[in-house]
Amino acid sequence: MKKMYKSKNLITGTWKAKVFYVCVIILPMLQFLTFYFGVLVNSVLLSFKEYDMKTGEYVFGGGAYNYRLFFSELKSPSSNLGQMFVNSGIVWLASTMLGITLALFFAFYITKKMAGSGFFKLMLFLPTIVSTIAMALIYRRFTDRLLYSFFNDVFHYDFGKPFAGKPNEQFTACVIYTLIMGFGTQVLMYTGVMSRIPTSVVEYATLDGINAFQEFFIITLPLVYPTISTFLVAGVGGFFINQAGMYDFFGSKAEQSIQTLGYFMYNKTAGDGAVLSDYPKMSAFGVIFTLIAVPVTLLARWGLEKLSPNVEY
Amino acid sequence: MNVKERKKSRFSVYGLVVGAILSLYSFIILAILVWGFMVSLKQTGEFWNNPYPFFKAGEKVEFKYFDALTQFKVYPKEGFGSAYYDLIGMFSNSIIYAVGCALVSTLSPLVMAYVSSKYKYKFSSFLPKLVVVVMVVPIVGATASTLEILKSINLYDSYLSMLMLKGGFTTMYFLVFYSAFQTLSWEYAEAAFVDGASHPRVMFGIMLPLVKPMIFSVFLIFFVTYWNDYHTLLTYYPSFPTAALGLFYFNRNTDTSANETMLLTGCMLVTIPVIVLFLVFSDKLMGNISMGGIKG
Repeated sequence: MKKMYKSKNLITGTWKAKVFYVCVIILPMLQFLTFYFGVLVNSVLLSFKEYDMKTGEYVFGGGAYNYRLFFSELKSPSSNLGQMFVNSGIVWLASTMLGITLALFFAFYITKKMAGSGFFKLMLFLPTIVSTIAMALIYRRFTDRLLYSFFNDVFHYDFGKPFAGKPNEQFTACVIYTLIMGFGTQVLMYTGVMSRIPTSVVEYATLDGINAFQEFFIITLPLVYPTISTFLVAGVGGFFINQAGMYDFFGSKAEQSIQTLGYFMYNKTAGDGAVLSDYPKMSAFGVIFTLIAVPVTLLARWGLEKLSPNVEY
Repeated sequence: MNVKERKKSRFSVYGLVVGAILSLYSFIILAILVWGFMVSLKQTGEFWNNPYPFFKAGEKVEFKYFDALTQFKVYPKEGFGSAYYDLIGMFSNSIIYAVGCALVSTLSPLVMAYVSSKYKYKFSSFLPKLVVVVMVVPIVGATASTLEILKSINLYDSYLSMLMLKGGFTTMYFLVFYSAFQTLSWEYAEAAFVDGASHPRVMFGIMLPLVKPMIFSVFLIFFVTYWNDYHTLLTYYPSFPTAALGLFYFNRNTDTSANETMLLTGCMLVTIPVIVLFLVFSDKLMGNISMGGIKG
């Protein structure tokens, strides 16, 4: 009997095992089919519909009107869609490219257990666990009230009130906020991978007299490359999603010229600026963004794999 | 120069530069939080005159933290006579929301990873690939579609909708659990099957307890995430203000210029529980993510 059970098939091949298997996967699979696959299909269908004011329902009829609207808005000088692409690009560069670069330097510092590394690790992770809305509300008052008063009183310099100031000042304040609040998870990931690099490799290089910068660029970076490329690939979609904390700071009232695509989409569907008649338009925009994001993601993945240094440890 | 000295000297420039940046970063983060706490102890009028985190002569310390529990009110549905929530009610909602959603968000990838790694059917080998595809391929702007589906099945603005939305298994934690189960020996299960244990008994009684610390870490991470989350509730369950959503409503609906310090008190009250949780369980919260470090 015991021998029979040694074969996994005699355990998992029984009808009881199959019933158990189906019972376990049925709810998660239903969830997936409804809220991923179903939502995706419905999103495409909704993008071809329009809102019927009389019945309050979405009906087919406009054809590809919502898609045409996207391209006409993109060309229109009165629309901010083009500016939103630029803003999203800046936020993406700051949060993904600059964010990853700094996170790698920080992770190396922590992995090498340099002075205060334990404390810095905690500090870098702290913003990740604090409520975004609480942090944003405090940060806004910190810059607009404390820094404003401090620079005025001590240096007689008009620091301004970034969040109550000009749109470019508001945007800069949002970008800085996004950058400084986003290190936590990344640093932990990189620290985890860097700590797995064999000490023998590093010690051998140390005997050759390399300094910390050389170790970072020549040894560490190539070895953590797979993790970096994973973050870069996963970060592509962030271009269309990142709100740069704007909804936390301004609710639905962010200046049009500073809005990112993520903020615009959220505000039009879920925020105070949401209107039911905009749903088909937003779905069409979402489909277009997905159609851009998917090939770019796959291309980035392919390109980063091609560039991958041929190292193993 | 011995090896120790050589190691020390080669890190000196790097350590100085990055250490200085990290010190400045830590100072900013701590300054924001400490300043938030200190000015929450001021009266609003005094805060407008003196935004510094210290008290001038004649200024009083006003500890509002207990009063705020009942005085910090929000009205999710605007209009005369509408129901309101105070902070005690909102904290109760936060616990109900965070615990319930953290449970389903942990259990769903956990059980799927278990059957996928231990029951070698064709469908099982398909699941990890599906998860990777879902994680890598970005879907943008599906909120309108999700809202329409929830409204059409009468689940919009309900707790059940939250559990359903958060019960997805296609998260990175599927891969974390999957790799953990793959390293676990199946012999424990075989021995139990010989003794007549059923499949649910083996899963819940033997295999899952072997990854208990990991389950706890993932639950904790989700708990903190949902405690802080307000976007999802604002979108799909707006009549259920948690403490985080309450902060948003309070900031939006109240004349905050007259209630600045009350708002900051609310911010600190929402923040303090997670900081305590973080200090107690920092190794669990940060350790698990390191374990889940993606390679390749």
